[in-house]
Amino acid sequence: MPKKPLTKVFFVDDDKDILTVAKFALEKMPHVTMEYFLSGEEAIQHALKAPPDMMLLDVKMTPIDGIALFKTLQLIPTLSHIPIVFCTGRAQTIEQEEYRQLGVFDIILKPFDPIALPSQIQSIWDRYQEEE
Amino acid sequence: MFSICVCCTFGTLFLSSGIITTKLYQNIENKIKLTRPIVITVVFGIFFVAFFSIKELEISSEVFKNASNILFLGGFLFSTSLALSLIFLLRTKEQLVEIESSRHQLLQLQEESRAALTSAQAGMWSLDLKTNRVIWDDYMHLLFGVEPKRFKGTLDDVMESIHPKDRNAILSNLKNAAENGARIDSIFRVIRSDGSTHFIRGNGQLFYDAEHKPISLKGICFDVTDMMLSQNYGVISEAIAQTLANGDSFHQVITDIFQILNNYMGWEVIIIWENSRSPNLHCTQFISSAPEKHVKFQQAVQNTTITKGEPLAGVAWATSKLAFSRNISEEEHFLRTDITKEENLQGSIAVPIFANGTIHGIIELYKSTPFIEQMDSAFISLMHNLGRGVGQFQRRKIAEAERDELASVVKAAPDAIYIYTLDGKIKSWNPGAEHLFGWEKQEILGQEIYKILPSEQYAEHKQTVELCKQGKVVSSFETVRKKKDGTLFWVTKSASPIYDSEGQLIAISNILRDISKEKREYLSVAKNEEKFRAFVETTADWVWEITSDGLFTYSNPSVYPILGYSAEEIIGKDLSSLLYDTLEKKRIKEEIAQSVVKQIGWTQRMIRLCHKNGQLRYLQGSAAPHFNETQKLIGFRGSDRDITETVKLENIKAQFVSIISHELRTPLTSIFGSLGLLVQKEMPPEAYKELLTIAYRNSERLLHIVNDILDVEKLAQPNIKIPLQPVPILKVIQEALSSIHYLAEKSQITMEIQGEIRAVVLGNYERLMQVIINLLSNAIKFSNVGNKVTVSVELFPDTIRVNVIDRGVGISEELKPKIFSRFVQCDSLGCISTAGSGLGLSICKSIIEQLHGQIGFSSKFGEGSTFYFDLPLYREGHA
Repeated sequence: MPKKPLTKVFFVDDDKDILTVAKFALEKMPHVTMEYFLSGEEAIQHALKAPPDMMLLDVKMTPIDGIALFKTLQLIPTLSHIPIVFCTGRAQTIEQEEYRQLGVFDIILKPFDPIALPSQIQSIWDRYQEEE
Repeated sequence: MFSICVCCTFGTLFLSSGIITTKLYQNIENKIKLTRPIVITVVFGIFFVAFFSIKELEISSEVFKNASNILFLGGFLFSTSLALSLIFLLRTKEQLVEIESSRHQLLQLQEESRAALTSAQAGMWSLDLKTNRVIWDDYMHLLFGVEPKRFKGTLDDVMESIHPKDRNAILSNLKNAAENGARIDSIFRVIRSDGSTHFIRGNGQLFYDAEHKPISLKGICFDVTDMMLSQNYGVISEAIAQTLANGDSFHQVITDIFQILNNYMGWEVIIIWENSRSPNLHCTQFISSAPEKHVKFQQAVQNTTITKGEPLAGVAWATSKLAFSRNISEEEHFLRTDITKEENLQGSIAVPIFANGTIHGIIELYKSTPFIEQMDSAFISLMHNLGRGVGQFQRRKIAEAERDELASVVKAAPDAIYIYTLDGKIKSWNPGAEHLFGWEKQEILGQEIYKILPSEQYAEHKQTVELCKQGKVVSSFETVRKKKDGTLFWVTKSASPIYDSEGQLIAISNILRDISKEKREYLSVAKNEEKFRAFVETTADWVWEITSDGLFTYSNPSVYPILGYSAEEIIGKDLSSLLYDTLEKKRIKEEIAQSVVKQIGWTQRMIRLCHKNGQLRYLQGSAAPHFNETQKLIGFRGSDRDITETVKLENIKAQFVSIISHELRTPLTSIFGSLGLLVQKEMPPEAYKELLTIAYRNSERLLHIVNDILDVEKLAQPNIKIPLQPVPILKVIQEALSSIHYLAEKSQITMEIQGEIRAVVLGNYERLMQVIINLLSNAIKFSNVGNKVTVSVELFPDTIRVNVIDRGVGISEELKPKIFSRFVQCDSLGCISTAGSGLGLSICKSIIEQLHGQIGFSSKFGEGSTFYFDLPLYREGHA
């Protein structure tokens, strides 16, 4: 089965500054459309309209944190297949394990390297493709 | 002449009358002597003849003249002599009757004597001295046990039947009687042809012929065996009693008794049977007067045991009575008949050895002649006395041996053993007492018992005496006694009454054991135990003991503050009922089972228990296995510390680290990302400013967080005090408002001040500003866009209250209790900003408390919150 190219990624974080930095870091990713959201609610609404290939979620968000968001997505059949990557500073070993047990596909640790971030996202997608 | 003739005539007449009378007598009974009447008559006759002859010669003429006178005289004389003769005759007749009756009586007597002799079982004998022949009547033959036809009538023949030892005496008696006319009276033994020995008493005397020459010895013999034996029994009894009284050893006594029985009664063998070592009788002594004659019998006896009922000793044993056999060698049931026959043992008797109503053994006696003794009361009593005497001797010896043993025990005992009289005088004192008390025996005997009693023990002593008077034994108890040097020491004491032979209480014996050492050890152990008990009872840790099944058998009181149960409630409770959840129950059950198998305890194990009020408690502790005397594991003993707070703190710390890392990483992400892009990537010029602004803003945020953390740390240090000063509250609030103004503006929040703003408080300017900024920034952060935030000041007599009021999201009920804790962050529910360290309110609280104020809040979820603090008003001279 030919690989499905990564075309659309949602980036959800309640910190405006981080979203800005991410925008700059990912703006030149070829063939990938990035969409940025300050809250999970917003992201779900958009995803229901046009589901992304992958979602990057901050964990410590208000009012809906990353984990709650993930669980919500799992309950929506059209969205439950989307690989979720947590992008968080709360990533002690125990927490990482907790996330993975939940079903989170991968974790990107904050602070991320803005230069390496595009290839990091791409390689996660590639791996997801392989595992699928 | 005439007168002479007349006289002669009368005289003759007179004489003839006398003679006639006398002759008459003689005819009647010539055996009776009539010498006296004849002599008297003759003398009278002669006298009259002589008298009248002389008279006639002198006065014949006158006589003749008076013839009538003469006649008268003659008639008178004649009649007188006739009368006299008649009187004599009459008397003689009376005597004659008497003699006749005597003769009759004599004949009767003779018959009776013979009958008496016969009934007395006496025999008559005579020995002719000329011929030396012996004549016996029939009974003599019976007495000597010699058949008449076999009796040859010689002295030697007689001597053959007489006991050899008695023969010489008999011969010498006979000789003495024959030569000197001495009476014969002797007792000698006769051995009859059937072998039995009898005692015979012989009496007799010498008889003479007409010429007074000794011609024969005559006498009687009768059997005095019974009398002799009963006389002997007295002697034997006395001798045995003396032997028993003076005897030293049992063996010696038996030997001596045997000598007596041998001498007096002819017993030749004595056997002592005893049953002390086995249920049957066995021989413990065998003595024979002629051991060489009874070798086989001795061997047989010593190699056998006798059961109850077996002749002869066994019969006596079974019946508790004498058992005898006339001739044991003829007894069918006697097992050693053949040997007795061979060694000629015949007469036998078995006597039970009695003491205190119990048979302790049997005395068996044997002799080579038949047993012919009469089983009369004298004999039976002799034998019974023998058995009883020997038994009592034996018991006495045993008792003496026991007493000696006891005495030696008392002497050697390390315990003090002493006796005192009822009036409290010491009368016995063993070496143990000498050693223990330091009093020598000779100096303490007769002294008052109070010498060894401390005055505190007088009452106890009196109580002991009272108890002993009631016949009670005072069993061992601990008390104190006094040594000679006055030092006191601990002893265990027991006391018992001592009675005399009549059962009267005469003294009290005490046994004391020195327990000073044990007491010291005990006291030190008790002290130690008290010490450790104090440790255990006062420690904040929970000290417990459980069985291997998990049931509590001990708990110290600390369980109450830890789990809410009293120690009493915990004892008997199952550990599993205290465990917090099923997971924990399963885990602990497995761990205890493992510990039981491995026989080990555990160290620093954490356990989750349920407080009585249902709350979770974390305990951590160690335990050691607890074994019984047979080294079987029966449970565990250990202690646990309540680490609930520590665990909570640990959780908080973990949370803190997590939060801090997140809180630091969030601004760092922005800084690192923006600067990274600027440095490594070509960016359009308009992006530069934006990225640099992001980097700067987040650096500021980072600084703020770091400052807060440092502030928390600083405020937590007890030795750093905030300096107090008068602070005009208005000024502080204004400055705080202006410094935070940009934040409010950004979120379109309006801020206002109300109330007594001119008050001056006692505080610290910078710190108060920090508090107010913090509260304001929280108010702004948790407000919705366009809300109003109010700062109001209320004045009280001594304090002011500053309120910071927002109309934002409010605080959830869940969060309210921990709102002032560190790193607590509220969900802002779409509020303006969530950026914060989670330390702000914690810092505020610390500051206000250090400024002697109070901080608090009220909030309704979804409607807003009011945070306030109270501070004392400044008065002159305060600072």
